Amino acid sequence: MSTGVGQAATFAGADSSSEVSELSLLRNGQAYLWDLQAHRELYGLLPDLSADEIVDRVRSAGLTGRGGAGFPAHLKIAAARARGRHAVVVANGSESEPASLKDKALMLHRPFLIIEGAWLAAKAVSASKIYFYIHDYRHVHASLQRALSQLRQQDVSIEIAIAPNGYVSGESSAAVNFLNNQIALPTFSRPIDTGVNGAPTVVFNVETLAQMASIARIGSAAFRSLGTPNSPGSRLLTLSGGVFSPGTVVELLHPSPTMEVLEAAGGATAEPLAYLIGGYGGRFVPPFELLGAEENGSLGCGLVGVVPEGACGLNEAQRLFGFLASQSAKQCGPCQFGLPALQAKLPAALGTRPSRRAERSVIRLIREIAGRGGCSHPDAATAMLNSAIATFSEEVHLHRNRKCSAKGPQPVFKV
Amino acid sequence: MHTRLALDRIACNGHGICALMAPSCITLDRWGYPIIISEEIDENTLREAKRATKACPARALTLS
Ligand code: SF4
Ligand code: SF4
Repeated sequence: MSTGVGQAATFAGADSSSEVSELSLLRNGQAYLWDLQAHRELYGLLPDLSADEIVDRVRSAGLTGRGGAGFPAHLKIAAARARGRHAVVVANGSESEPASLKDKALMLHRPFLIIEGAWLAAKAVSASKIYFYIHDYRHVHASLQRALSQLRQQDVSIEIAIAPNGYVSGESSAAVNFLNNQIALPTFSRPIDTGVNGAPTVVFNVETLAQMASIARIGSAAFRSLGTPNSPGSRLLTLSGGVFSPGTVVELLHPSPTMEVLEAAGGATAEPLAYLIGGYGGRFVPPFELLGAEENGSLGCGLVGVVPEGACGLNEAQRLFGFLASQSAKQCGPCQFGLPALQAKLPAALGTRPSRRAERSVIRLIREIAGRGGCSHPDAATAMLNSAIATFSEEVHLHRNRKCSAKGPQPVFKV
Repeated sequence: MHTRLALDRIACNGHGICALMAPSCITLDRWGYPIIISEEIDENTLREAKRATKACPARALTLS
């Protein structure tokens, strides 16, 4: 199935045992649910919960944000309730990580579930206004519009806002900035303090909202029967890089040491040397650390990319870093000037004729840049680079001996 | 009572006046952007920090 967003996104079927898929977010892997009747047949009606019941369930479910930061959803709700004013809910479907497709796929396949989740969030924080913040993907937009025209709620109005593309435009303060000023760049103020029209604003990733609608139906205990104690519930992953069908979206019900989840994308094209997890601004980990990351939920936006044997992890990291540097919003000096300065040093430090001097200045620059942006963009970019240097230490040695494992010109991760 | 010096990095445009006004609290990096030496401001550095906060043309510094 194509998402019409440039790359094929396929929903791979969840665990086929029916007992488990009764509790899963997607229920049955394949079907598009564009029609309210079909949605209700599969999921049943949304229970009518009070605001306190919603908060209770989300808290005891242990739901965490699925956009990247993994912040506990109930704390966000509690912070908005503590403000004692009508809040605004932003459903963030802007998914700016280039290889990540799970939010787009979810908006295409399960739009009603997301809308129901947004209602629940709105009820919990007594909001009467919900914004869907998305990028300009025609099919995603059409899917949401079609669902919204069938599913209305009296006291809540929902609007779709289409943001310009850009890596940092998905950041929650950038979403609020766009809704207020039409500028999709991060700001210094926190959405919860000064949000849309000055109201306290909670920004939830669209998968987080869909999970709320699921929790409302199955209850928090059933939700916790999926996932792990440290990372309750299922989560959507985008499989990318060295797999046979990159761009496959799959629902991970239980982390498993055998990595059978990769089978959903046809398996790895070669023995995995490492994984890139959490997006281009995520981190590289050696294969034995992937299970741990799944178990404690540190998967960021849910991107799992295979770095296959025959690829050079350092080349990959350099290219990804170049992309991230180009995506600086150029508002903060250390990010605007530091990232390109660091990028310029990388070939001399990580290429196949590395100089110790360049290596030292890379380390110095990383230290000078990290933690000094207005948003976390420079931190993410430098952390990705550090993780590559640590994970591909053998490749660092190879390069020092003027060798490289790259077998072909084909990049694993496209920018 | 602790006083903290906070920098809005998005508002800051690297004039560097703050480092002149408060050399014991702020230095500049190689691109001319401030590095806050310590966010905690004590009685010895409070005067300087106040001066820098006032002088910043971008109003990027706040004491709280
Ligand atoms: S750190 Fe970079 S991306 Fe983030 S607000 Fe500043 S300039 Fe923009
Ligand atoms: S004076 Fe203000 S704008 Fe200039 S560098 Fe210092 S904080 Fe930034």
